[in-house]
Amino acid sequence: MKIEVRTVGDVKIVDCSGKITLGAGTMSVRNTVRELLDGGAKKILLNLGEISYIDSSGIGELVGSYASAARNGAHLKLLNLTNKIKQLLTITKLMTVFDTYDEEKAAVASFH
Amino acid sequence: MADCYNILLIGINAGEEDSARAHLTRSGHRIWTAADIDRAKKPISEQPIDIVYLKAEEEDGALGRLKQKTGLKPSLPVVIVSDSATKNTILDAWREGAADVLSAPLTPDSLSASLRRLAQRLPSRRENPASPVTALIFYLDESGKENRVDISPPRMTLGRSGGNDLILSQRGVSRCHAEVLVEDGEYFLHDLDSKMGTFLNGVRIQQARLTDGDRIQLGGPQGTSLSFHKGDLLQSLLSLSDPRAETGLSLYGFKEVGKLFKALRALSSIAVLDDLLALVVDTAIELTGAERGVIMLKEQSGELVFRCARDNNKHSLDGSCFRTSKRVPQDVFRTGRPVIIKDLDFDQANEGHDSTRQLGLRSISCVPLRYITARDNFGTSTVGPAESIGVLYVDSPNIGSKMSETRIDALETLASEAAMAIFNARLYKDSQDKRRFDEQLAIAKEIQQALLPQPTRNLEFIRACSRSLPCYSIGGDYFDYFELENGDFGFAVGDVAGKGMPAAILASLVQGMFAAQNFLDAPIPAIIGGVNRELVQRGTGSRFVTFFLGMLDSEGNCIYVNAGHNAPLLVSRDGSMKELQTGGTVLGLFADAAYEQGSVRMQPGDHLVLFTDGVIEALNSSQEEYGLPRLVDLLRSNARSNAAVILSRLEESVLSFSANAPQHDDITMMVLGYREQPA
Repeated sequence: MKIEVRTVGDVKIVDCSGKITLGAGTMSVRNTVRELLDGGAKKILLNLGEISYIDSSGIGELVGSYASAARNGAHLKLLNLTNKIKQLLTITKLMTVFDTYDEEKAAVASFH
Repeated sequence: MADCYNILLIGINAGEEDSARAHLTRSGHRIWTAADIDRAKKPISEQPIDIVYLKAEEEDGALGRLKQKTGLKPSLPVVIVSDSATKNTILDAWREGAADVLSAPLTPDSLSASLRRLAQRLPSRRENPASPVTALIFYLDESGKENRVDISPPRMTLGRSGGNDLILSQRGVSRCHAEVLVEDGEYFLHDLDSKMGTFLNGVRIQQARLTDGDRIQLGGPQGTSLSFHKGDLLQSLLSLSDPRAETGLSLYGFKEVGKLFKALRALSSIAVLDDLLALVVDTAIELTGAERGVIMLKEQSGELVFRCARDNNKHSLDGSCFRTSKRVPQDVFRTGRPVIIKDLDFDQANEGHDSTRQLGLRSISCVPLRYITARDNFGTSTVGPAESIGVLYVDSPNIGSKMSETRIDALETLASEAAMAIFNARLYKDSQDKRRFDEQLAIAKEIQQALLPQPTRNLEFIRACSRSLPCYSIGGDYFDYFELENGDFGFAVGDVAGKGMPAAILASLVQGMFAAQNFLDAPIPAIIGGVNRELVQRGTGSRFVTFFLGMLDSEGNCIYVNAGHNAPLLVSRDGSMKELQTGGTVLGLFADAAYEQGSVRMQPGDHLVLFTDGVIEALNSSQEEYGLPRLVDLLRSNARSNAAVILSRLEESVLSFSANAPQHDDITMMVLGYREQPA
């Protein structure tokens, strides 16, 4: 998987693409979020629009990242959920945990 | 004046026992005896025993049996008396935690010598007994210097900040990174929610029991490396390797021993193969006083290949210009026997070494690198055949007069420890070579299979059958049946996020929790809520568990909670279907998650089909998923079959769909038939 971080105002946008599965993929999401939190970021938006595959471990990483953000007094939101991610979050009844957006502008604005 | 101890002799034969007793009593010690392990419980529980000498008929695992049968304190030193005190026996005893090994029969001299060695470890009788240090950690500080730290109970913390017992300021180490806890003489490593993780022998862990020789890395598998040691049997290993020294004491103080110890300790803390090889060669050169040395390792093709060549100034030599005797390494590797040639010009036995002599070499030492395959099987080690992985070769243009017997033995000991370390480092470096891991996995698989219930269960009103296909050799799926005292039938399916060993451990944990719940009293949502809180408290990180628990009574009333699990399907005889969704979110993430109870009514001939995501996410060779629609179609067309037939059609369908495509998840399915018509 590939990860790139952009900054829009005071929001860090993490563009993820490829697979989020057990192994390297999940660690890099988690590590990226941790690095951002260590760097003092308080507003993090995970853009998942280009994720081609995700499994239940990947969902675990999203929740883990969300929890680390909360522990650090930061907010983590999700942008551009694929149908597969929506389906997994629905089955696991985790959809309500996340703030999710389909449009970047609206997502960035929601932090303010 | 020497200290006096309370000594227990187990299984020492009568004649030997009398002379040992006489000798020890003269020296002021108090003696108890027991004929065998079974009879040792009484003296151990009733007397303040300081030291045990154990001779067992069946030497394999004797110490483990003694501990198990007598509840012996793990810190109590036990000396194994062995009929065949070979290196294998000693390594074995060492791994089990023995304090020393002596050859049978016991003699006054060997007893005195072993007591002198033990005295260094036992609290003195005349001083306040401080808690003896039985374990320690070796580590390299920032400047690369080797240090050791004793682990004093009950706790030692490791981390970057100043308040830690062991302060490590290397990159990747968190402020409070990890801790070692001592409980009942066992040592446990816990990760303290560190940023970059704590690894044990290359595997990331939250908590794990430490065993002798374990490698701990903080901050990633390449991070700061430490090694954990307990037991002290290296001394015996050395003493026995010198045939002239009956007691081993003659070796003490030798410079070689010091060098060897230093190298042996460092071996287990170095994971990078090249560094390890260089250290082994340097140590071999130092031990033998040779001018240069080389390690040759066996490649896949079976050929011996130069891996690391060094001179006596610790410089690497270019392998291509390192010309050695060709014959000697090949012979040593083939026969597994060391070859020591002290002086080619004068040694009559060395005819045929003309090419070697032409190289200007006059003395050569070459020993095989052989490791002993040891399997740790629930605390008892078994030793497999030795396997050669290469040779260690040193040579010198000087006559090898410095090669005393002791040095040769020390070189062999170094080679056998080095072989083990190289083997481990290779495993570590080459993740494709998972041989050792697979051995552990096979054991884990047996445990897991033993924990699962029989796949079919027939009650008066219910026929249940299940199938679980782990993706790796062990999996994170779980199912179970419960027969309740009021006659109801309980059933559960769970799926731990992730696969392999960590998921399997968590799945077993969940199974244990459910086994301990009292179903008669608590409503299902309370049971699920309790298990959820337990899992959250145990801090499984971002690992979670999806779970479905249901109870069916003989009237067909089914109550259930679905905790984030793929909704089971109620399949009626007419092919209509209903999803069982009511419940709450997954287990293990949110301590305050609330769970709601759902209910559904089953009619005779109805089926309930439970499955994990591995079923609908099974992929075919074009990367398509099996999917819910396919599952629904299959169930609809088999709605009038019985549970066993439905299960086998389902399994057949999923497996034929995914034939030849690698699977990514465990597959588990359960079919329950309520009051089926007799076939």
